[in-house]
Amino acid sequence: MLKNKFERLELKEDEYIELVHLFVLTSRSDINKLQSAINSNDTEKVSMIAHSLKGAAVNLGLEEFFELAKIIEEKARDGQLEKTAETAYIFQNKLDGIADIINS
Amino acid sequence: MKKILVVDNHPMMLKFMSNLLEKKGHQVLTAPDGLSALDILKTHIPDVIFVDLIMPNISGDKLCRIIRSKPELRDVFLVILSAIAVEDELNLSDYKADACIAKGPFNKMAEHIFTVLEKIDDLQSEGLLREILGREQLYGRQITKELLELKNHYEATLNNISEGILELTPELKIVYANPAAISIIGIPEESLLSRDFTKLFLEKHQDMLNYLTDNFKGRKKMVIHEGPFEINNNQVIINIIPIKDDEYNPILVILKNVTLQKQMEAQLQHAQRMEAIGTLAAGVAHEINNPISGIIGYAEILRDCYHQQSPDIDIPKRIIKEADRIADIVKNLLSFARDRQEEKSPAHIEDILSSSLGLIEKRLLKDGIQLSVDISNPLPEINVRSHEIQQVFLNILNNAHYGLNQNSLKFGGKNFLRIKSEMADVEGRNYIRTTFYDSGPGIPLNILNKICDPFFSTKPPGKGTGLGLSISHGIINNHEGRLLFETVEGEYTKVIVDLPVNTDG
Repeated sequence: MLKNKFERLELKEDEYIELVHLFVLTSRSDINKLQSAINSNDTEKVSMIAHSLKGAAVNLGLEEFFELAKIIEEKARDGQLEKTAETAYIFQNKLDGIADIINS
Repeated sequence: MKKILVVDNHPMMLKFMSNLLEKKGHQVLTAPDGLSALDILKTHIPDVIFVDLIMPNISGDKLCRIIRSKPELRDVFLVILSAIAVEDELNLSDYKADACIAKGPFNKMAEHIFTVLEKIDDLQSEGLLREILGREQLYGRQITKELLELKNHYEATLNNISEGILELTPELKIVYANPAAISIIGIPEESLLSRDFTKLFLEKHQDMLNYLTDNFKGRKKMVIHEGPFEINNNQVIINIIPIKDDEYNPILVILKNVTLQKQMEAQLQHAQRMEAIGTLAAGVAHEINNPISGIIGYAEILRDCYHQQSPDIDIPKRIIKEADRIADIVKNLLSFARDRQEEKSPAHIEDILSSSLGLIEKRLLKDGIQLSVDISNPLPEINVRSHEIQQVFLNILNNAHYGLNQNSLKFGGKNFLRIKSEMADVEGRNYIRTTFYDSGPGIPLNILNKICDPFFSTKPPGKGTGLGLSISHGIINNHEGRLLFETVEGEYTKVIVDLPVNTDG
């Protein structure tokens, strides 16, 4: 699954894995911040963080993550923080999934 | 090989950029925010800088402007690296950047980065690139736009409030300043950002500020200090608010400019003190007057007992002379204290001035003082007690004469006294302003607020009573005028007398 992605981005496999690794690390801490922002009802901050997640996903050509981050950003903007929290949870699970792939 | 600095807050982006550029043999430095970038730029001058726009601790747009304000970095090729850039209908010249690359899939970005790097060498002769590469990889355009609008909305608010607002890192480096803060501090934004906050203040305030900021580190508590702290000739109250967040823990500082308020308080205090002294002086003068008449009376009796040729007759005569001196001082004191209700009458400032000058002009000229009088004609009449104003002018002239003579040993021949009368509009009211500008030794700042106090004198004992300016002050106040001093020690003194123009006709 990752193979065609790094080829499409004209990167070597080990380079790509290194970048995805950083993506996972940064996104995990972003998701933590996102959750505390949801808890304090700070919708601006939620959409800011989602925006940054979205940008990183685009860089790596990770469409699924891009779509999820986009939903988080839109829902936060509409004030639907419950929906946002659900999607953030899915995002986090997907992060774990991709982390397993690059670690193996 | 080029020296390249990449500034972005996402570790992945920094890694991608350094891999990409190092593979091509470039030397790459990275920084996670604007503040660290400025730190690196203190010791390194790169050929190219890639800057993200949205970053903590000095955003990309500000970083670009700071870079361009530094002479040693003026020729650095500056590339903006941001998704925001595409949305903002970005004007590269606003950021003083040379090119912009939109963030997108890494392969596309790599392509644009190489395009830019290849073009740099040609551009040196052709002029700047000034174009945005990668516009076609737009995504989420609408939402980004909203994000920007939100940012602009907050900025508009911060730009228009009268309090100065600063954002500091926990290390007390300034990373944001609104326009009010910039004007209070008096340092342009480009050189203000990344500075140490406490270093802006005089040494005497620094310990207090360090104590204040240390005191709440880690605690979520606001500190207000009435100070006032002095900065750029302004007096400010400082409000320090630590912001608890998961990452940066910034510190917000609110500067409230209380200069005017403090000045008014000082004026009021001075006025109250003068009034108290006036009352006291009137009482003392009255009490002294009676025994003085007694002393003079008895001394006269004593004098009359002596034979005119007796050598001892000198003693009662001296008693009378000295007692007369006391009586004079008391009379002066009374005129300071008493709100004399003598009638005012219309007069021309020119006439008053020339009668005062007539008494002293010859002495000024004899001491080699260059005297000039400039009265812009025709000035309206003022409603005054002429002899009182004459006394004030004479007093000021005497002081100037004394000061200039102190000076003459040092700069012989350069002494001047320039007198000018003109119209002045103060807070919507018309005044005639007479300025006495002398090149004397000036008034030391530490005594400036005391010179109108009774019995305060800088002259040696016996030369002055210390009553001249306090009486003048009282007289001018009774005329609803203003007596002002402008002075630079060692250079000049300007005494300004404002008298209200006769508006009754």
